[in-house]
Amino acid sequence: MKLKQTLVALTFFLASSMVYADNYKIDPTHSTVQFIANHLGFSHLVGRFNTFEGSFSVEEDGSSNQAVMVIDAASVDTNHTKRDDHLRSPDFFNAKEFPKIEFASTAFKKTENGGVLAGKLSLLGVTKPVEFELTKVGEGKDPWGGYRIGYNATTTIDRTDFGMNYMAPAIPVEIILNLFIEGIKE
Amino acid sequence: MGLINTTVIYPLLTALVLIGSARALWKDQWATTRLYLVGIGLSFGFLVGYFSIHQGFSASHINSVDRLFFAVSIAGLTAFLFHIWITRLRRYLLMPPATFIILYVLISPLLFRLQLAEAVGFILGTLLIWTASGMVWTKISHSHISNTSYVVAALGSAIIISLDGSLLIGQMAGALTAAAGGWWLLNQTQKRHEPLGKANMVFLQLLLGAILTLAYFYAEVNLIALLLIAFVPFLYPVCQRAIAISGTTAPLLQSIVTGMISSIPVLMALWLVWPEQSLY
Repeated sequence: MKLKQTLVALTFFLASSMVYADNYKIDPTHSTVQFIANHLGFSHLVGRFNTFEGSFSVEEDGSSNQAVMVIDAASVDTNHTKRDDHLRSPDFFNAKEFPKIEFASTAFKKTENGGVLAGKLSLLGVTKPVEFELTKVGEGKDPWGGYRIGYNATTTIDRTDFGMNYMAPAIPVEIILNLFIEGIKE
Repeated sequence: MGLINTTVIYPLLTALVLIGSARALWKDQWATTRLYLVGIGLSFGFLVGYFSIHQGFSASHINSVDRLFFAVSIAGLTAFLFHIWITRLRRYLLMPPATFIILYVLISPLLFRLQLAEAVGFILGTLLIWTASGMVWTKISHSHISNTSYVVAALGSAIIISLDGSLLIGQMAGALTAAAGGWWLLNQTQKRHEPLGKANMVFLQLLLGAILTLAYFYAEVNLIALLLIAFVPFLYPVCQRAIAISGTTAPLLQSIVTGMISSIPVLMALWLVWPEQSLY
């Protein structure tokens, strides 16, 4: 009897100490994966990846330490077909040999406006740590009975860290990555 | 300027110095040795361009494209050893499958990702390009005509690949053109044209074939344009006939005739890939 009481108490204790997390799937129709590169020092070129998928979890306290994203490298789109073909080539994304760009989070640090999501980015077969600055946009019920949450995330990477060395530094090495993510609760 | 240096100047100068030295140091009594040294000079010309394009020896070779030289070097060495040790018939039977296997090692990371239908297309496409550029092994001699037409084909591939797919692979073809151009220039200065040995020619054809293959499978360069480039060696008898009709014996005039005929498929290929949109 005493053992049973102890087990029940232990179960309640463990349950109360666990933080409940909601899982979200990224809605690609309301999300954007964008990159910005400098063009010869004159202007900024904006491109995006049209195909991607991913998921993340949000805990009760608003932190999110589990996020994964897989981007189809061949879906790069800069509004110029010839340039997109070139970006898919071994000069840049080498999409045939490395078809996926992957991100997996490792830690989350909460800040006043959102947080910093640390993780590992795999590009061209090279995995490097990156930190996204995360800003929460909003959350709530949608008109179709679901529940949604949205974040903006931004970071800057050096493309040569991933072996994307071609024509560096003539073509600048710093690339800004912007993620505009909307997730649907599962 | 960096682009010109790495693609043209460095490989050209290396080829000129090494081939020129080989010719000066080894006179007629060492003819065979000299031929191989000329081949080594050519290879080093390409090698210098190749590594300077990749920003030095420390560059991380993560892409299959970056392993091109090593893979083709093994193929070249195989060709060289076959040339020395085995009979002609066995050589021609063994060399294509041997180089084919080496090619697959080179592009295996891509091959493993393909679906069955794509893999079949891949094998057929590779066979097409390699048969076209490899026919030269058995049929076409290592003559003045093949010297000039090779330079034209390499130059054409550099331009076409750069326009239609990958500047990186195009630059590799450019370095190859520059090294082969050095060999061509030296031949123009000699009274007697000095061709390469067949093993060297095989090495050069392997390099060009591998570059064309990479351009097709990694950068999706127009296949017809690449096949037109690979077709250039087949114009050998046409060039031979045209030179005979013209009656010219001067090496430079023979080169001009060969260059003009070899340029026809190259120009057709250029027309196929010429960008309709503005360059970016």
